[in-house]
Amino acid sequence: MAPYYRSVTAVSSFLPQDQGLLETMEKSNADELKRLDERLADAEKTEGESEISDALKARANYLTRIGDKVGDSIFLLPVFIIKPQERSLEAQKLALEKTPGLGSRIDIALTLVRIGLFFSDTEIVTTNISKAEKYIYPPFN
Amino acid sequence: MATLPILPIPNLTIPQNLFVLSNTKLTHLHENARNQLLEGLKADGMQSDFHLSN
Repeated sequence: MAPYYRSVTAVSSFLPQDQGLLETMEKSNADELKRLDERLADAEKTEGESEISDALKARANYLTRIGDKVGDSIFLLPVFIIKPQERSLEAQKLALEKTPGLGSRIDIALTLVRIGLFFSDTEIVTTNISKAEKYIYPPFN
Repeated sequence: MATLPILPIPNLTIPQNLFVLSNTKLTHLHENARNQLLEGLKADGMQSDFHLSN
């Protein structure tokens, strides 16, 4: 969680920044993202729709896990408000768009809800709860 | 039918610990929250083999 760690340690004194730890995290994150990008590129060249979808989901989930990319951080007592992270949100939305299965779409919509909860962003939470609800209870024609 | 595990991402204990640390009335919990926060950040930040979604 290099991006999140950098953001948290930059705006507060709760956690002192350990430069060595930050560099290790950044290297680990960059290596894994490179691997996931290569997997996605391979899938797009030679594989089918479901492999591309799996690669997109893997990349989106990794970006979500590491809190990438945290935007500008604002410190307001009593809680942090850290603006949503465009890269993980965009990656999840792309995975949602390219994923065919209903179950997987529900999973992604609920991951987006958790991203909103993680960053205290109620707009992301409410928007994606509605989206998940529509997938679970589709409107009758 | 086996139940699929829910992906623990993002880790919601991280903002929870951050909230505890930001609250001056919870100073008796700060040390524990700081340790858990750091462990959570390390666990998600340095896992190179991301197997949960693979």
